[in-house]
Amino acid sequence: MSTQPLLRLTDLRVGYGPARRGGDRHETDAVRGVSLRVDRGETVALVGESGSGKSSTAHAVNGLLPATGRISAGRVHFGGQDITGWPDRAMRHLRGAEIGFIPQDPAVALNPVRRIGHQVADVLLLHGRATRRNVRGLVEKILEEAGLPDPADYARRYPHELSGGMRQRVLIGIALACAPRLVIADEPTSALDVTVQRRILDHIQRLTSANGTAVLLITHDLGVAADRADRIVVMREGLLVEQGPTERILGDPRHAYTRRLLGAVPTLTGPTLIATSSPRPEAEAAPESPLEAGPNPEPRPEPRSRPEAGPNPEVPHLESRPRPETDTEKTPESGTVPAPLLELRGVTKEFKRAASVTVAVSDVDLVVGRGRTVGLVGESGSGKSTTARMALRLEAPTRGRVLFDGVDITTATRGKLRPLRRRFQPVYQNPFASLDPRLSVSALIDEPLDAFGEGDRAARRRRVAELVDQVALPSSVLDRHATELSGGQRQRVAIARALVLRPELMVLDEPVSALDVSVQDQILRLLVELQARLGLSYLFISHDLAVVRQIAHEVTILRSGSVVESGPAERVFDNPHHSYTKELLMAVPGRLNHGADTSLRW
Amino acid sequence: MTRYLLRRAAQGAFVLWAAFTAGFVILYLLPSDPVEIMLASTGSMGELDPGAVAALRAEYHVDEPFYVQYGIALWRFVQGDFGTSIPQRLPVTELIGQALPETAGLAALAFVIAVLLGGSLALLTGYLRGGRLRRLLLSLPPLLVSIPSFWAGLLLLQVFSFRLGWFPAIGNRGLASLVLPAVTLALPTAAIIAQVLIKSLRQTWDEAFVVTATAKGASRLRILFVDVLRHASLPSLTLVGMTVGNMLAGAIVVETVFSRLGVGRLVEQAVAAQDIPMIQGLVVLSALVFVVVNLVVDAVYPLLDPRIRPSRAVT
Amino acid sequence: MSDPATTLPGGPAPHEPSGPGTPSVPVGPGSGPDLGLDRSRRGTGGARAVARRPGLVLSALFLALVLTWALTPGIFAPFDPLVGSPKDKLLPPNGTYWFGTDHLGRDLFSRVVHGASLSLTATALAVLVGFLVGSSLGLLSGYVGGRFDDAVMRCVDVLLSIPGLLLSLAVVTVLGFGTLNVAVAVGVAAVAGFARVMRADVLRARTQVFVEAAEALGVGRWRSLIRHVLPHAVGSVLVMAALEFGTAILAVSSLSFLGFGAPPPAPEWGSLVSEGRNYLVSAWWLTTLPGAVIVATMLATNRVARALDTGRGDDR
Repeated sequence: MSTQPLLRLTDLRVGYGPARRGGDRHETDAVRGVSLRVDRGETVALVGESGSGKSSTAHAVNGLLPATGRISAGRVHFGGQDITGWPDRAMRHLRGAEIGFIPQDPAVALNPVRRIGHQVADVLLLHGRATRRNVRGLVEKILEEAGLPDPADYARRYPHELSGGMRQRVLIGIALACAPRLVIADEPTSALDVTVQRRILDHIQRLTSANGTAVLLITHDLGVAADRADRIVVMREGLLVEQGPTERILGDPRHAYTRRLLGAVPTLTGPTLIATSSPRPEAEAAPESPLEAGPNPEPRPEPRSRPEAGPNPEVPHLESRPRPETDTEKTPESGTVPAPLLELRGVTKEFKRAASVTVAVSDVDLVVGRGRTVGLVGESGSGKSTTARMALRLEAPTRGRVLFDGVDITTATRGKLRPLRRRFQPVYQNPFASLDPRLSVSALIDEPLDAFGEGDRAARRRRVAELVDQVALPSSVLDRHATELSGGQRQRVAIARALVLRPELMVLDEPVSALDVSVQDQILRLLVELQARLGLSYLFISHDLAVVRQIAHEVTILRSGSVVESGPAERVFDNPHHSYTKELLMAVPGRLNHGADTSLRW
Repeated sequence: MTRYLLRRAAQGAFVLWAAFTAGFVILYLLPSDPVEIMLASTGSMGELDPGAVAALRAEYHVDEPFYVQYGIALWRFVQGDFGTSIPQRLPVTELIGQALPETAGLAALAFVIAVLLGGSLALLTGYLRGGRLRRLLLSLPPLLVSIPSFWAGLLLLQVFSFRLGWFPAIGNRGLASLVLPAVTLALPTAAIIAQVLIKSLRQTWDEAFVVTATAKGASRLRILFVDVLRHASLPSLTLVGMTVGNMLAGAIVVETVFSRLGVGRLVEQAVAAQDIPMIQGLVVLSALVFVVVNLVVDAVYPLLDPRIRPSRAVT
Repeated sequence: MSDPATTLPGGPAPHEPSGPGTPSVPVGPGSGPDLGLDRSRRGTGGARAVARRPGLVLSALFLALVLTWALTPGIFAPFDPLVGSPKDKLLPPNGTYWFGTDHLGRDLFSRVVHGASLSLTATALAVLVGFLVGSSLGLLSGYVGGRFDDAVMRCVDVLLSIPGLLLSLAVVTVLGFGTLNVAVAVGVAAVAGFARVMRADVLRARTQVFVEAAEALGVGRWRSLIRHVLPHAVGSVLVMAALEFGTAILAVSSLSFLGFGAPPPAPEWGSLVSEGRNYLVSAWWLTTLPGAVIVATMLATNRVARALDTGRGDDR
């Protein structure tokens, strides 16, 4: 047909809140002048971190902005028509029929009190693609195409009777039911486990390319974008940073932010953090230097000590294991062979509910040596968090033993545990929940000191200030409340709080999974620095293999409560033995080939 | 499912027993002597007939140890016997039985009015996206909750009976006499229903599945009725038990204001006369109403919310 | 300022992902690039918020007025509440008798002002009884747990199954009539509600991640109860106490309307309305105006209580 693009955004601005007159309005706009196009049948990935305005941009296209949001300037053209500011009544004919929408979280995106079949039928009936008479057959066909085993049966089910992946398949079926020309996929897989994620993305790709449907894929994950998109558009803080064909963006990023983003993505190839950052000489020299404890050290991190993006296969890694220079006695290789710091021996955890017993963790062995990082990897429901809670002895195992520094703490009482608690400390996944919103940062960090009656007031003050410095936060945060800090800053506070009693072991439960990629990278670097400087041991729990690879010396893979595979990180990643491990590795985005040197291998 | 209901029924029986026991403890075991209270309030004015006192003491077993009293009372309770009303000299159950239909009719009409009024108020605010009308509607429930029903009743009487003469002021005669009391009784309940429903409608509009429905191309009205309403009405359903109980309490005031005969009036008279067996019977009655209504709600709830039905195997 | 959600009051982060791998965790605003230190949501915002809500200010002022009536009725009441001048009986509201006069020629406004003292004292006492007994029960129940918790909660369930007014009436039957007894009776009826809310909040606060985090960091149990659990649990009970104040005014005046409060000459609000019933046709003001004062007081307390509630919500 014509060369006209299917979707064209011209200098689009999206604002929230009441329309304000005066100059500062554009300051609060979530999207500040974005122009982009999507051609017929093309897949365009809109990539950005939270607050980048990528979702607002996408929602503005089909008028799904929340009630407070509106397009404040710019135009939206769809199929040659200017649809900017179309009333709801007109937009309704586009939505579902011409523009499909795949929502973010399948767990909440289907109405829990209506049958699946009815929810699929809606879209067909609304747009006259079916009559009451033949709708059932069409629905079943859609569900069959979605890959549900028994469509007639599943049509009668309710959403809670389906798994997350299945629900997302149903939602994809709804989005594509009327054969729209464009599908907006809003983080379609970020709420799903990695192996499911891959299958769902394959599914979307297959269906859309069969119908020649264009896809606007919103994602925070560059790996996903790299695997799936023809073109990538990078956004940041409401502005378009860079756009171009996928190969070009990955192979030759022109904008510094794109490069930084690429650099921050953890990958399964290339150097790891423990190989590159710990042996740096300045690590011991001056405590504040490696972290640039300036007035505002965290924003816009310069890529430091990290080879620039691009293939760099020569970096020697994994051989040069960091050895904590601080305390040689504690290395497992030294003569006396002291007990490992933490040992789980055949721990099993069963939860009794009503009549049934659920086995959350079954016969797991785990050893964390001094100065080492053990990565514990699993998908949701694998029992990794329960294992962490048992390691912290917040939960007592049903069977098996927990040893800390050779001392059996399996059945230790509160009183017995307490003196040991100062030696192993937790860091939680969600720094928004794990810090009491009522306390100031200094009170939060001081709390463990206070609880153990450590030092006088002045000494504690000094120690708190020291720690804030150590985690590279400006001292101005001391009097603030955790609620006033950003996610990354909060997690730094949580780390400082865990460090204040000079523990030997930290149990980190998904410490970076709530954070944006660049912040995640900063926190991982901080952890590695701290380990090198203080000789810490980490039990690092994560669902993300690529993250674990950045930081772990040993890896244990959990599945349904049992250990599937464990061993040195390099061995597990380079030469996985178990098929599940292989599947997990294969599912990590950023591996599909876009030509040999343009996939995410830098 | 049946097991679930059976368990709930057992819990209901427990509540009944406990309500009876609580009533017994409060009414009979407090330091005051029940027989003295009863006699003082029957207007015997000090000239106590020793024989009558002895008879009463014997009838209520006041001189027995408390567990014997309790045992006897419990045994009667199980048989549905709450003793004899002191001033009226009639069995409590008989008196309640006579009054119950009047109050049931009143409460039923009031309940219908309350649901219609509260429901439509909430739906209207749920449909409107903003503007003055919506704000006005939103301010109504807090206002209605703040109006004591004795005052609302008197105002209605003043306007509709005395000024306009549309409805009879007092009495139990015919449907016309039922309207004003029912409206009075319905107002606070309607306000509560509206408040709960408005809140849950608002929360439901923010659910992600509403975005999905919008993205399908459904209109706002359709989304309200097809997707939102059913989901949002679940919290109000659990409210029904409480609501019906409040109807009984409201009837105490309303029947007094409108001089109607009914259970509420019985309560008022019983308290005025310190008629302890009667109060005991009425407390158990209200617990019974609560239990029965909640059993019905429990039975209906799974029909509306599939998530609490025993689900089929999840694959 | 990059993230729209951080700059807009109440605007939920518009469909931004929480981040990889955390589907259901509601990550608050500002998980973006680490640069947002300069948010100032405290301080002067409060004063301005009040100025934007005239209804709230009016409510607070009215409450203050009624409270001063209750404390020093003599200053506000132009006449003796108990002694009237028979020649002035049943006068409609006018310049001298603002609320008109009753069948004995007593000034209705003076009676309402003096009645504030009786009715509000009873209300306050009722709330106090309910709050103290209920919340300590709930606190113990939630914190001790186990059998004790079960037993207390069963009792609470039973109490909740009986309508409050009926429960109060049962208590009044035993205690006898009078302002004080009415207050206690209304308070008893409120105990179960307080216990339930307090317990729920203690349980919720106890399962907060930061409470567990404190425990894992080695903070002792009692310390964390006082430092983390209580401050978070006590908030909604206090708000409930404020809301309960309105409910208690209603209950107290209902009991007094039914004639179970102070005996006749005493000008309790409920009994004022009740006395006016005989003159519904001829003297509308006798029922309407005292009732209007009750409604206004309830509206004002509810308004202030709700403001407390949302204010607390903003603070989090």
